[in-house]
Amino acid sequence: MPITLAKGGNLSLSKQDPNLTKAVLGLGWDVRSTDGQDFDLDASAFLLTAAGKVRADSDFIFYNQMRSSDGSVEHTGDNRTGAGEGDDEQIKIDLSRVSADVQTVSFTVTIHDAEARRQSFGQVRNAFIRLLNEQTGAEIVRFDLGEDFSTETAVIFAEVYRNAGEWKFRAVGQGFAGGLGALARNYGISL
Amino acid sequence: MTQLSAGEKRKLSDLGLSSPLTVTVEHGLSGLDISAFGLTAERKMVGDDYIAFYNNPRTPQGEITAQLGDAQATFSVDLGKLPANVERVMFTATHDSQAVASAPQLKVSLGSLQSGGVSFDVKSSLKAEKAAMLLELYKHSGEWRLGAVGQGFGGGLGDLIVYFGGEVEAPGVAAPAAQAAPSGPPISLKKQAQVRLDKQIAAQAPQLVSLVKQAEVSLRKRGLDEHTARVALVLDISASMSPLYRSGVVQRVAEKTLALASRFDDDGRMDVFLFGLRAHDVGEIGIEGVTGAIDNLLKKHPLEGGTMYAQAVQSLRKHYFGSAGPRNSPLRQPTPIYVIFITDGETFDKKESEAQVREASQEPIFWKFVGVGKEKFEFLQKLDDLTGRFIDNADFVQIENIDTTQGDQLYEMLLQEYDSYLENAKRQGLL
Repeated sequence: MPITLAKGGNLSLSKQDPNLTKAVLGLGWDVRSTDGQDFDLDASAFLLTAAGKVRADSDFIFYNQMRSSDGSVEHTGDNRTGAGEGDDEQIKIDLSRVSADVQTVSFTVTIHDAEARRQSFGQVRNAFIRLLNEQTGAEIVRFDLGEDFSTETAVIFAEVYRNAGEWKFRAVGQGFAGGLGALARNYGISL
Repeated sequence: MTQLSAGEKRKLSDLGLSSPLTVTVEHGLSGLDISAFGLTAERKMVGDDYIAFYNNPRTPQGEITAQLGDAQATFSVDLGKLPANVERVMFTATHDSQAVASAPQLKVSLGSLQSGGVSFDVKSSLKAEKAAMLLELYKHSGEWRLGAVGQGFGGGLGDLIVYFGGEVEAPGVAAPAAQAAPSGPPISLKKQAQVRLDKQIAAQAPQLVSLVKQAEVSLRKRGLDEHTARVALVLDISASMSPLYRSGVVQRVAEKTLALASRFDDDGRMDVFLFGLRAHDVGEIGIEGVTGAIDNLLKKHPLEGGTMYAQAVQSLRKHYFGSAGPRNSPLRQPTPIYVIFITDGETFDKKESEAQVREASQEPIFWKFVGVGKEKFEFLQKLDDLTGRFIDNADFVQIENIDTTQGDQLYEMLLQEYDSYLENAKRQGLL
């Protein structure tokens, strides 16, 4: 039975699905319905220590670096327009292989070339993130981001994090200006 | 004055703005038509009355009025007076032959008595669009906000009408609003919308086709074939309902209700509410999503161990009228709400339920309580005959087996008393 979280809510993945080791994060949004340049949204993941920073640039998983060095997180590829049903992008995570010093994996979406295209999350509709068990295909938790955004060009959708020996999922929904660059710098990536 | 950028969204209250608002579009391009569309939460048109444009400068209750000049358009908007189903007001600019951005300037300003307000320079956001959405006012979490849109369509007004859920007669032909003579009636979208809806039903939910026909017959009998209402389906999700969900009965009830809704509501959608121990306002179901809809809802909202009618009634009153509190005077709105309330057992909160139904009698909403199964439903009968109400706003019907009840008979039961309610509500000023 999948759970829908509201912004800020969290859920124990270990309790919800005790057999979960390999998960898929599916992220989606609606394609642009008016004329003009499509929204090209990119999903990324950041592997973070307890200090909230990456250990190295290799902890930043995105369209140009699709696998983490420990092999625990893998990006399945870019979708350029948001067309099609269901998830627009997916990122896989093998919880059993996440390095012990990684406390949190943060899942973010940014608008490619937002400034030049004059685009922002205020224009993107029906964005969501959901977590599935890769082995059973069952959806475990979902977060619909709603219309709470305005001029933000980067949004942290959700986090998967360790808590007292369990893995938990938190619906974050926090936006930033400055796109992927600002977000990456925030997590300690040198650009 | 605050400058907005494309995509920016702000709460009106954060900008010091409050209703009534003045919205001014300065453009200086001859032949540029500026309009205001009243839309649902899903950006669909609610009807031709709720488009303020050169042919219809005033919405029915004067909620939106337009003063349209050659180089400038000014609207006054009283958000508080808009009917509950108008949750967005979109200001648009369209031109028959030229790009909207070819105007010497294109600036939208918003102000209210207390504030100098904000403005949005739209021109730089547009390229070759002949129809552009400039700015919208919209309700989110019960509060009005504004969004600077600055997007549109190269195909002009026709594309815009389609985007708002309307239909344009034939490709290449100008959209209705563009060709309407100034003295002619406002564009008629209801019939066109119905045709479009029937095509959609045949393609996406063929199981509804014969139900729609049965619903039409029952509506015609009661003189309701031209009637417009919003339809709400309220479903009991207490654990005892489990067999009805498992066997698909509730799904079929939803389909039967949607068939009715497709005649009442020209967007062919209904609002769905679930209740057990708590009430859940779960959004709309339309033709495209009806197949399998109930299973999908149950995945998100498992059955609950209790039955609380009052919470459900409160949830609807909040949804449609903004508050579930006591009401001191009757509330008038152009479009009534028709509710089908399905339950299989008595409520735990009888006193609160009575109070809620009483308060709601001052609102343009009709409650059809449907008791499913063989229970006695003494309390529902009591609600039907409840004293101390402004007008009789509820009817109870018991249907032992909703699945085997013939379609025409079922619709008769569901519509019983609704026509007399409407007459009464009009007389008493609710509609």
